Amino acid sequence: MTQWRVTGGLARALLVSGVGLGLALVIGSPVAVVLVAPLVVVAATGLLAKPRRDPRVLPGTTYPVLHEGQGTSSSLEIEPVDEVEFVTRIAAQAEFVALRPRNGALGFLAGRQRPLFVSPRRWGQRRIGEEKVALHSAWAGYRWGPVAFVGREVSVLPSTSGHSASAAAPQPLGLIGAHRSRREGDGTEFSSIRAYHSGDRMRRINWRVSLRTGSLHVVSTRSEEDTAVLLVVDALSDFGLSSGIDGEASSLDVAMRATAAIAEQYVRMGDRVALRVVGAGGEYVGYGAGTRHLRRLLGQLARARPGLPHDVEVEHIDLRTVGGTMVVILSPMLSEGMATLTVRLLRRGLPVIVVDTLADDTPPSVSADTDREIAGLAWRMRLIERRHVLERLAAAGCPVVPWNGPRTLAEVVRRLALRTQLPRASAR
Amino acid sequence: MRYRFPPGSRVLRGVIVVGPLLALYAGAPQGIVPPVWLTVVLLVFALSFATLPEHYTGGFTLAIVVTFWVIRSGHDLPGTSVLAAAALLVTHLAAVVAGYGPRQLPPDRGVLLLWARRGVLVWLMAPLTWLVVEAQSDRATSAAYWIVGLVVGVVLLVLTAAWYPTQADGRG
Repeated sequence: MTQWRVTGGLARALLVSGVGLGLALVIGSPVAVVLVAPLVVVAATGLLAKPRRDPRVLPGTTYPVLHEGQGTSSSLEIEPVDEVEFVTRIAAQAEFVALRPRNGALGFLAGRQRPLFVSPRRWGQRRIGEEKVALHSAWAGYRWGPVAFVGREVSVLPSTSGHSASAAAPQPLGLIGAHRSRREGDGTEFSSIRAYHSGDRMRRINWRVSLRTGSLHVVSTRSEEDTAVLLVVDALSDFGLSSGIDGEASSLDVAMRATAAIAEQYVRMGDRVALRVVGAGGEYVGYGAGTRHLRRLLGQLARARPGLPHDVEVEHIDLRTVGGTMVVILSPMLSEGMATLTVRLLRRGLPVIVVDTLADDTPPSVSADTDREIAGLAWRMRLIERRHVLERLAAAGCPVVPWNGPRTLAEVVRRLALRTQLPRASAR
Repeated sequence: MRYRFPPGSRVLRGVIVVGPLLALYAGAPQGIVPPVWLTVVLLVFALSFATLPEHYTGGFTLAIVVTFWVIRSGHDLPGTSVLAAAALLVTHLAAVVAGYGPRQLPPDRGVLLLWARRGVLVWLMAPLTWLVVEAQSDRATSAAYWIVGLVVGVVLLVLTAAWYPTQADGRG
């Protein structure tokens, strides 16, 4: 159990005072008394200020969920504070967690507490609040601690950068929503003017056409429906360097932030969004809508970690798609399994979009002892293979777009929607 | 990394190195000059003290200076001893502030001001003692009497403080 213990400063003051006064007594030298007189006072006051009670220190709780780039402050609750004069806090340096002060070392007088600012810089699970705390009594006579606090695990959600594209979904097949349907119904989007049928509403009658033709005609509209969007994140591996929210982005960083932005956009439009992370954890969130569902999606994204799935091969993963689902695959397409999975979805007739998450200048991810020339050559060959895969996917009707911010999907989705409205000829 | 040893922390350690040397040479104007070997020994101790301000070598560093003064001054009381006392006190207080945390901890402005105020007040004990001793020097009473009196007073104070019952001690 941690207790108040004598500091080195008090021990030193006592030692020098003892030596000085001892010499003064033995030799009868008054100069020793003059030299050590101030230290005697320091030692005596330090002893007199010995704390009477053990303190209770509680680190201030941080939020359990944060977005990358967001900051929070961490403070200490100390009781009783009147016996404490100085507080020392040394926060542990963690990967992708920025601290202010930058070195995590903070010292302040107990009455003038200064908070420690913490900001996670990358999505994922981060430990925040791991630190050591020491308390000093008045005149630095006694020290309590340092005591280690383990902090807490915080889910750091990928940033969503306000995606506001408004392109209609290609095959909306839901009940109600914001997308124009291929079916006629009780919406606001004009479809045609046709002859009156029993059951048509009176307010739909177009009187000008009815008078001209001599028979009742009504204005028909398209119904408006929601759509299902499945977001598939390739977390088999992470390519490139990651420096957090305001630095370089790896392929997985791009995938996570893009997924978060797309999910937020479609959830806000009232669509049902599902998520499947193809990685070590195999995180899955079923179709759903609403803010709470968006939080679940982002929470699962934060838990994702790169690696191969344990229980199933990539190309055999059941993505649980439903008819009319728009599938967005966020992948660097460096895995054969992901390419096969994409082709499988295309063959089912689903609208599939591939968002390319690999930056052009991404270096090969190899260990330090690998020959750089060989690694570079192998990486170039890999990129050529990747280019062929992307070209073949595009030829098969799957748009492949690099992630260029929140509006990346708008034009692609609009084109897909137009394509689905074209007349189709079936081969016999 | 560059910010691991902040400037304020370096200044404190500089004071810890220079302070004992200043205290050692404070008597030079009155002819109390230390030998070179002692200066070198003290410098080594002072460097060790600056590296580990909480270590007991700090106590030895200051004790060396006090012993030198006692040996060289004998029964005299040079006026510069007050300056030496100030240098010793500043060294001790710099080590106290440096000992509040690891070396990457920059000294807090508030605590520096607090210890500066305390240091000035506490240092006044040195000239006060010097004046008292000077005033008593012409009297027939032996210096040992008032030294004994002072020592007994301090020991009583220290023992009282050390044995004062506290809640933490009571539970142990």
